Amino acid sequence: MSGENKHNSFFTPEDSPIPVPPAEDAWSLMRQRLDTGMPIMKVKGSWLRSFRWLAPAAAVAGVTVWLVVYKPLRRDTGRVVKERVSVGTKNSETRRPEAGGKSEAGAGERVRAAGASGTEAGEGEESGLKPGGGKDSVKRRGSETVITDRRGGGQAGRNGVVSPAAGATVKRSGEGIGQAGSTAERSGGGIAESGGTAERSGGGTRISGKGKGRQRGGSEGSRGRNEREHPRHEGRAQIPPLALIGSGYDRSSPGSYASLPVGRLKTVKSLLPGKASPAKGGKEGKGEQILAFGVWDGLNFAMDGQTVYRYTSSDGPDLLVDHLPGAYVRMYLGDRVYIDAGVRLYSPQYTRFQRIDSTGGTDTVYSPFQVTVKDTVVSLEKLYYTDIPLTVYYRVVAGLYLGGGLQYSRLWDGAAVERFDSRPNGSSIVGSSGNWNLDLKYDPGALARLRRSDWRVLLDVAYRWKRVTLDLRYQQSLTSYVRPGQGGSSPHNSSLQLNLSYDIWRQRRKK
Amino acid sequence: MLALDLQQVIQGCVRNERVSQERLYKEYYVPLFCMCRRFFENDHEAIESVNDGMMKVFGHITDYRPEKGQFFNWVYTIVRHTAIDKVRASMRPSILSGPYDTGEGVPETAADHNPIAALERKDLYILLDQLNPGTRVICNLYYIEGYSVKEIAENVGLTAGTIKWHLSESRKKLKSVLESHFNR
Repeated sequence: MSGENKHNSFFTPEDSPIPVPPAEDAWSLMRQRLDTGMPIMKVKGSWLRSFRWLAPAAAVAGVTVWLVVYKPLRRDTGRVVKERVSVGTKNSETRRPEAGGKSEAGAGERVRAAGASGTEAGEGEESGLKPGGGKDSVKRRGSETVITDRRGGGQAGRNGVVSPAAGATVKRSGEGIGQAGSTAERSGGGIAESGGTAERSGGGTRISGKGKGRQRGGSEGSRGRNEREHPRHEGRAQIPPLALIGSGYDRSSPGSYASLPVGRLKTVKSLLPGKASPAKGGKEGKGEQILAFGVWDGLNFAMDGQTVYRYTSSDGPDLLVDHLPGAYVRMYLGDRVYIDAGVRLYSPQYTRFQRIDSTGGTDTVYSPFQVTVKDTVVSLEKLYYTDIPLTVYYRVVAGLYLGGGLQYSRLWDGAAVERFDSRPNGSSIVGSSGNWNLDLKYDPGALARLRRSDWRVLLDVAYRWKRVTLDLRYQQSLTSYVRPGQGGSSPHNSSLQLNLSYDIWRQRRKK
Repeated sequence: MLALDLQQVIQGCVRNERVSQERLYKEYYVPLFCMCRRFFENDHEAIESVNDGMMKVFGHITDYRPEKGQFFNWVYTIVRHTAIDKVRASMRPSILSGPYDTGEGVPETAADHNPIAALERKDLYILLDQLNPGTRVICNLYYIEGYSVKEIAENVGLTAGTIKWHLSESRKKLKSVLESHFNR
């Protein structure tokens, strides 16, 4: 077309011969039309950015599940206790073992497990001594023991769970307990053999024995008001140190209490006359931790002249402050040392406001009246790396660790600002200027001036409490993030991070 | 905008990224508005015309071929055609159709003797505001946009004689303005 290049080009409002409405107003109208006619379906790379939300969300969900669901079921012995209450009675389970007789199968296993120096008396009653027809069954699942309590009426010794660990001597009194010639006494045994009745109420167990005998031992959950002893069925056995005793329900009406709610199970070391030392490797007695997997998140603090910018590389505002989600694996080398390896995707790194690219006078805008020259400067604001840290920690005091290590960081993206100044050709007076937020991913020229690989030294102070670790980490890059030969200064990355991590999964050494 | 930046912005527009679209829009907004303003009497219609054209630009940006010309020219042409279409659609035929279907003395193009080219830029708009809408459009296309009579006729849908009549009318009405300008 003949008029192709004869149009008037006024690229700035100052050059316009007429008043020009603000571009922002026009763009807002344009954007409405774009949102209607060309809606954004999916932003490329959004999955990566969404990971930044998923990581803290997963951590919160994990902690919530652990606190709400898992923790209440977990006891000091590491067992999971599930209680099922059946209203009806099962007469088939009312067989009572005689003294010296054979225990019921489920509980009998536990008796055998208790094993060394004696047989725990009364374990057989776990399913057998329920006049009302209740049944307790004990199941083992690996390191966990699940006790299912099906209560009938008027039982004794239910909920009595003893650990097979090294033993203290516990006396239990209860009917039909004496076994294998041992001297086991069990308190809270329930119905007395000799016609007595047992009651449990409130947080403890109250036993009103009308028959002769004496109940002893006693925990907070099973100590009877009237202790009595069963001479016939008394035995002594090695009882594991920890026990779970049911309490919190009222047995004032034997035979009908089965439907009453079952109270919380309590750990009662006090039940035991002698305390056994916990197993080596921790108070939980489950063996030494050797491996853990978890997630971490943290904050990055600006330091050494760095400036904090709260927007993403794609020019979008950061709804959250910049944080550092990631996952890690920890390998424990004994009690004092562990190695932490992890990965962090899209980890922000604040930088100084630094010019990394500039172009002057190459972009000319033609108009019939003058030639406008544009000078462009790209200044770096923030970088995004994928971090792979490897840190070795050493415990100095209980819970407190000092660590050091090395981190490899791969430059992924960056945020910069591009400033342009327009001036008439041959003049140094700037006619107009403006700023754009620039995603370095779309500016290969500027990105090429930065080092893609970055090695950093890590220093860390961490405090561990159960599954949670809080650590303060300092990073110092060994090399400049600007490639050599680009001129200007050679700044190094450095950062101070506050991290919170949580072990989602742990593996312990089997004893 | 640097050539490298322009390429990235175009790629961003291809991906339907608002950031790139905004950048492109604001970069070309002023010249496009000035061009459209010559077709219309008020700013609102001019902005509307710019947005109509830019919608076409964003929707067909994958059709742009660098070997065929500069990107700005491509955008400018699309917006200009959009503005012409808008003028043609909004105006009654009686406005564009003159009473005389003659236009003696009007050359095919204004390249050789274009009195408006010597005007100050702001005077262009003052001059155009003196004309009725139909004559304004044709005068703009002929003297400012550089269209030939034949091209205007094809675009606007009038005969060459009607175009020449509009041009004669514009010269008559603007005679005083032009004389004052040249006698300055």
